[in-house]
Amino acid sequence: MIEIENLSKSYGGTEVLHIPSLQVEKGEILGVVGNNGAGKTTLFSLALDLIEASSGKIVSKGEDVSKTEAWKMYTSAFLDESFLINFLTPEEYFDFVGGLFNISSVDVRLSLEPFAEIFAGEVMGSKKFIRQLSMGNRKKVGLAAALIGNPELVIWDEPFSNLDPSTQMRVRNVISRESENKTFLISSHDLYHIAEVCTRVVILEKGEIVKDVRRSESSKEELLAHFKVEG
Amino acid sequence: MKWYFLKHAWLGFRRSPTLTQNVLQTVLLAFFAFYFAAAFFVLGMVAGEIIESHFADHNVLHLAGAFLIYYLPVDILTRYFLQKFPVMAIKPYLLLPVRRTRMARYILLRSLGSFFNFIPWFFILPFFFFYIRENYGSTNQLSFLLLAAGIVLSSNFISFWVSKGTDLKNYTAGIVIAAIAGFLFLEFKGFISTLPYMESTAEFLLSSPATASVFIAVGAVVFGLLHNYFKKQLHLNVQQSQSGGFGSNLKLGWFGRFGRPGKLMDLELRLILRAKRARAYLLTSLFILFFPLFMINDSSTDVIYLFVGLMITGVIALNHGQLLLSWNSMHFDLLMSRGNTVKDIFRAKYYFLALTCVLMFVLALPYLFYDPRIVLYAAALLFYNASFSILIYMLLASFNSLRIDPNEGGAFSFSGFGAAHYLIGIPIVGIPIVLFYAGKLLGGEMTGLLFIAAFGILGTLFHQKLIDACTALFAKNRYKISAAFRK
Repeated sequence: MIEIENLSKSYGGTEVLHIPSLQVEKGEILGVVGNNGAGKTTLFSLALDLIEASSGKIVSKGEDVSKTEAWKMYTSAFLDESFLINFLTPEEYFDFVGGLFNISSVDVRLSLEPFAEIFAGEVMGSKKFIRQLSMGNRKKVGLAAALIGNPELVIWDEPFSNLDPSTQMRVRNVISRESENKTFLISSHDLYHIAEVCTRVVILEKGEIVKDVRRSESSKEELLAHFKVEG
Repeated sequence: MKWYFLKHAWLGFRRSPTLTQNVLQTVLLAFFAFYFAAAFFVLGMVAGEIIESHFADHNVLHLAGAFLIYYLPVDILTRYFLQKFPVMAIKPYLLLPVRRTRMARYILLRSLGSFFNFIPWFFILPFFFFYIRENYGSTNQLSFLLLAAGIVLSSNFISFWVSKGTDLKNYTAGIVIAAIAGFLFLEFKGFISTLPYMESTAEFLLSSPATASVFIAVGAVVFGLLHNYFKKQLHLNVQQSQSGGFGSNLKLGWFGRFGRPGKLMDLELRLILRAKRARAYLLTSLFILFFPLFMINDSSTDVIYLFVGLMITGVIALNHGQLLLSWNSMHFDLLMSRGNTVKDIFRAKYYFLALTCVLMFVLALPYLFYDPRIVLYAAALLFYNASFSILIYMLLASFNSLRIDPNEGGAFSFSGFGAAHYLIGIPIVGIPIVLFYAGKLLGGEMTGLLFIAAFGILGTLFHQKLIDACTALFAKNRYKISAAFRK
């Protein structure tokens, strides 16, 4: 699905990301963990052609993402607030995203049924613009919108942060359920959720992959051990 | 008012991103300010003699007073469009133990620091020292100064009140502004003449320092009204109570049938109706429709008609197109990574702006009854504006795009403009002029207009190719622009 070849990104002489090789299979739920500044967001931004690689490339379904636009039709993401259109209401925003894929308003609503519990009645029907919603609700809108139109690849940056615990659990359930026909790239600081929901976890440190763990009996311990701090 | 308000205001100004990033623009603005100040100063020095020679049988002092009174509505109109009233400046202090009355007082007194409260003095003081002082006694001198101060003061607070101090601000402000504009139009076009009344009023007001202070009293009263209003309004809810704006409840799916560009055009329409700054630009543009009434008279030359036609059909496209992609800067990453191509985006922008040109032309059709020549020129320039000038805006967007928040800022907010924005005026205005005179040389006025129209039609015929070229150019610069939008 995704192939990263010799990818490198530098800012003013400092290399912030260096991934010689990484392959993500279809249907994988890949978790990317790392401390702040490890390069997680940089990696995702490169995968979405939002920033320019200093060298190397990211290939999606055989095509370099910086050379074609075809991937935009089956890739969705929620990295930060710049993926929200803040002067629209959530319904209008969902309709807009759905409209890009020729999905009718009705079908958009239907496809958002799984999110009804997550929205908890605060997001839909409130007649508020997205900019007037709380941070958590904005996040919910962004995450939900990323699932409209049945994308094949979903990239979520820190999906669990700023959400209350039960919503975090529900998001995990959504990921598990949706991954039947989707590939997920998720970053997080939350080892607990990552360990539970991801099929594979990659640890980034100062821009390099230092660990690549597939889910197994011992994977959770392995992860926690990596980040242990002397008490 | 405590001094920390001022200190913070000064620091905020000095450290503002516009100041540091856009040095050229700041320099330009400073230059213009200096120019106006100097012009007013010179005018003030000679105004006395000019009035004396042109209005020989009038009392200069009373005439000057009358002009001051006329200046009040003109000033209010100008301030409405240009003066910013930073009410939100007190937002950071709302959660701190600062008294509401202090904050209200600060907001109001801060408005006095506006450029508009200083510039009249560049005229008034020289006029005072060079003429009034020489020719009138000390009581008259004092009265004059008091009247002038009162006019400037009340103008400031009345403008403040019109733009911020009313709950139905959109409607009340609109009515007041329309009334003022209407009055000024009638007066300057000679339909009514209030000069004799104003002169006698001025005579009365200037008869003693007490009467001259009337406007100071007016200013104080409006100050009090505003003070009361803000004292009540100052809580965090103030920011949240943003009206949806026109179109918030409208079902706006008109362009949706035209594929992805159509969906993007729908979005653009929502933006221009709903985002405060975009809407302000739109409304200002619509006001321009009335410009020909002021600019065209019997002695107008071809160039004036050209300019008028250019402005009428192209002003929305100009105001909106100058910041073509910046409007989307806050959600640019979404547009660049999901569901559509860069070509879709540019096509949507192109068709949207072209439609605004057509709209303006249709709205200008009533001019057929006033001066058909206006409509003729507008038609020719419609073809030009709806194709070529949009391409210029698209090219500009690929080179010079800064992040803006379309929900913040007023009609004349200057953030987001770079050096290139000022330069594009040259081709946009220059090309029709060149084409027109080339045609005029060959065959006269109509040929000149035909040249312009033909140029525009050519542009329309090849618009797909030209959009593609702009898209390709943008694609080269996309990382730079995306990065600028994220700042």
